[in-house]
Amino acid sequence: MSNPPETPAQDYEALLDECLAYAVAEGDIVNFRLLFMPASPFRKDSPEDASTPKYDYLFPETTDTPRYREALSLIQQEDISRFIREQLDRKGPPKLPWQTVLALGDNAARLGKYTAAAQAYELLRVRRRIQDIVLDKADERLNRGEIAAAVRGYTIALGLQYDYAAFPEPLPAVPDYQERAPALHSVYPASTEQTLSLQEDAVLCKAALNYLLPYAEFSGRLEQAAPETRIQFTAALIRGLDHDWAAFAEVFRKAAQLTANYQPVFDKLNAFRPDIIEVLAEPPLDPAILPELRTIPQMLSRASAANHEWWHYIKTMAYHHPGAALFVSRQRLSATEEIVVPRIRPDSALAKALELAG
Amino acid sequence: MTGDMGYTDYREVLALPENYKPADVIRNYKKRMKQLLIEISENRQADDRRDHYLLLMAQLNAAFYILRDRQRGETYLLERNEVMRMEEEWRTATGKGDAGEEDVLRRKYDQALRNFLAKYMEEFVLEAGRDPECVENSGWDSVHERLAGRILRQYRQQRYHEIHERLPYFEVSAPDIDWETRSSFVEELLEGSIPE
Repeated sequence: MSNPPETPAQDYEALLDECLAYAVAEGDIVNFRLLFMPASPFRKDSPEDASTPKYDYLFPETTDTPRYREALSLIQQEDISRFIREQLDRKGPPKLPWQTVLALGDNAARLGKYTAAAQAYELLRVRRRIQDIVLDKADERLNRGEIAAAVRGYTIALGLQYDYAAFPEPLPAVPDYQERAPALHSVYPASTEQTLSLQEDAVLCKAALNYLLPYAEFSGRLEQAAPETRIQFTAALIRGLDHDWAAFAEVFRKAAQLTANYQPVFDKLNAFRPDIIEVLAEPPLDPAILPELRTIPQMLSRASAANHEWWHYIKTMAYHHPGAALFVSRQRLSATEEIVVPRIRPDSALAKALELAG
Repeated sequence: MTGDMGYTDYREVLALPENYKPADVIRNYKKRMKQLLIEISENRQADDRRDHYLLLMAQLNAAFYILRDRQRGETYLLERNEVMRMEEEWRTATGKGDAGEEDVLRRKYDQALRNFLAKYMEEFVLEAGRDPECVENSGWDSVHERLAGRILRQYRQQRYHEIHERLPYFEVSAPDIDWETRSSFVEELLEGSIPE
């Protein structure tokens, strides 16, 4: 009987460097921490083996990128390499080498993985200071009229925010526009004054910034900006938070055209209290047009059906397009049924900048 | 960082002297609560600062509730001193080279700190809101309590975080950050250039 072929000996030191460099290059805080945990496949006292296929995901598919090479050279610096090995041999919780955690956070921020960047910076206790630097620089850019860079700065600072009220432990804050959007429409807009999207740009921009940047320390910074700058910034921020805004704007314009045909009916419905609508001798709405009206919120929110509550449409819309919730309003069809319709001021510079006007 | 090193000192909240008497607690609480309620009613931006005012009100209630009862007040001060002593003990052990001992002390301190903050920054604060005398003086009701849950959790975690920011690093090696480089890095981020 012949002996089985010998498996080539693995160079675990090299494998460890590869995995660490890959996690640093990709800003992957989860994989990076795993490599130091008690069950790490690189710990001598761990039963796990890094060379088995189940750990393939820890290794880079390509090593031919500047970011990976830079991370590898950092990992292989003598003092860092020695420190890493000491920690992996140590009994008890390891310390992560700060240089690599910082590099990981930076790469995560470059790649837009803000929750990972926030965790890395939080470990280093520099998150808030970095956030302040980002906001200061963004304000400088805003003052120089560089709107895109300013929006990028505010978006990064927002991404680095932490939620200390998270249960049971603080976590990076994540966008929750779908949770907050219905609050913009908590009062039924029976008149123009009550309709957020029909307010002047200054009022709409303030509401938009409070909603899109939901921390006073962020939105408060923009209060001193010139009205025109605030409009440009708000428009750019809405687009920046939604890479599919152009497609939404197209749907919005179509829905607005459809809504315009029924505006006189809506005005009549809004003139009555909901309980009165049910007992009117002549109903203001022809039941035959109901199916068409119900397609309006469905179009806007890309909902699968046309029989949802108004807040359901708003939530769905805000999830896909955070800024969209600012340009719609509730519309009653009967005492018990409401839909969501597009509504903008014809003279709104913000709506024009967002290509919502027709 | 606040003057009380992160371990809220309820005697400071009520501006009590070192050897305060029960009458001082009641008098200072009523005076401060009245001032706060007047400030809220006169502030046009009170709605925008709701969380801030709710926290101030909750802290006054908690300070009164804890310090009014002699036994509860003494236990609070004892536990506060003990957790501060444990912080010092861990700090002293750090850097002496005994990683095992250091870790044991850190864990003990961390657990004691979490318990202290949970008990005195959250549980007793909510309990105080249900105390008839606090309800009478502050107008605290079920709506306040509902809103306070999130605010107090955030406050407690922030306090924990504040305390930890000044303590020795234990999850990462102590960083030596070059803030000039950080500033350039942020400029690079704002340019939006992502290297391959």
